[in-house]
Amino acid sequence: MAFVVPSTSQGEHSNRNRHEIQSLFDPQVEGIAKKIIEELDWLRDNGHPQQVVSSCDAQTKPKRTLLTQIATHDPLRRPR
Amino acid sequence: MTPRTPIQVISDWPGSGDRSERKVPTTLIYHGSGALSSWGFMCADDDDAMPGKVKREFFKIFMEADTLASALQQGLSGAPASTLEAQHFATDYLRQVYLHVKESIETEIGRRHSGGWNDMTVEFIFSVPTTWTSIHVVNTFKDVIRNAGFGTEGIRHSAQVDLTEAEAAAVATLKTSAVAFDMGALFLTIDAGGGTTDLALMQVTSANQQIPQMSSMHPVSGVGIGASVIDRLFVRLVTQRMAAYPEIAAALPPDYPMRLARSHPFRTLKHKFGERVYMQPMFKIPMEGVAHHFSHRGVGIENGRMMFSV
Repeated sequence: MAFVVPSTSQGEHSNRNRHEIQSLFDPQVEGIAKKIIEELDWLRDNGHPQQVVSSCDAQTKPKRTLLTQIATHDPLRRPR
Repeated sequence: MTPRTPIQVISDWPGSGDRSERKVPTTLIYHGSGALSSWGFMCADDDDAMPGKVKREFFKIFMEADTLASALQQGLSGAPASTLEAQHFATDYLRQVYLHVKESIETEIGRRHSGGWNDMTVEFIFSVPTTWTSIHVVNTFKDVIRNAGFGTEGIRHSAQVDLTEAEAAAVATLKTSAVAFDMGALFLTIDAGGGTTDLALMQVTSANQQIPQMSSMHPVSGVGIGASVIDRLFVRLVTQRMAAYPEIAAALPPDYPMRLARSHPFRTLKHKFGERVYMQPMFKIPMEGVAHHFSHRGVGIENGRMMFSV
């Protein structure tokens, strides 16, 4: 179990010209994606090696890249 | 009384003004004496910077000992000192929820001043965090909800803990999904909340859409992966901007970045960001208490609104 504590460096957040609002969401999206991949790995390690299929629809289109990365995650592949 | 369908959701809460809100901030502010000063939306207008006042948030998950131990070990600020203290906060909060629910329903059915709901059948059903698999913590929570008043005011009143939050999300998924699930199908529910994001791998054990059944295979919780991270980063962003211009910061309340994070315009942005019709090249958050004609290029204020790039 880990707590996501935002980094103390100013990083991109201090750069007003670059994706200020998007950068607020990135840690949460990345944290959720990491948890999803952990669950897919659990499936692989517990006898459910079937390829995971995507059920993306039009409403999730803005997040398609991330979802596609997750949905095409191959449970048979060894851990990264 | 004529039954009203579909299910009615209470969306007018103390302090929410004329906004329709389905979710209430899990926040309490106490006086130095330990008496409750405000709860939920009302905390926004309660000055917790006054000497003696203390604000409490995110206490529910800390009724579970392992979660609290992990938070304390990692130095998470604002966590309760003990699970007992977390239970005390949760009881105080749920008591206020109970009183408002009771008042709302009694008023709606015309019994507020004529006997109330004590002689009616009232069932309260609670879900609990996905990782509360120990019977001990579930029993503790049952004590909390009864001490708050749920299920205690009439012989036909009851309160029960029936589902984990992931299971509740899974039921909604099965009943509303456009995807048809077959017997034995596996699916992953993701319940992204304010303080945690709970995930649960579920297996369909009955594909009857009216009465779906499933079993949980592997529940996990991402404590700390929640929308509160977005708020903290936004507070930091605004604080950094204002830090370079002390004269601006001095003219505003000391917790102005936090106030802006809790403002209705920012919460709307947070909820709708990513929806195609809501997106725009630059977001402008109105600054309460700032004159409409005030602009400051350094802080990024234009006509009383703080500007943010997408």
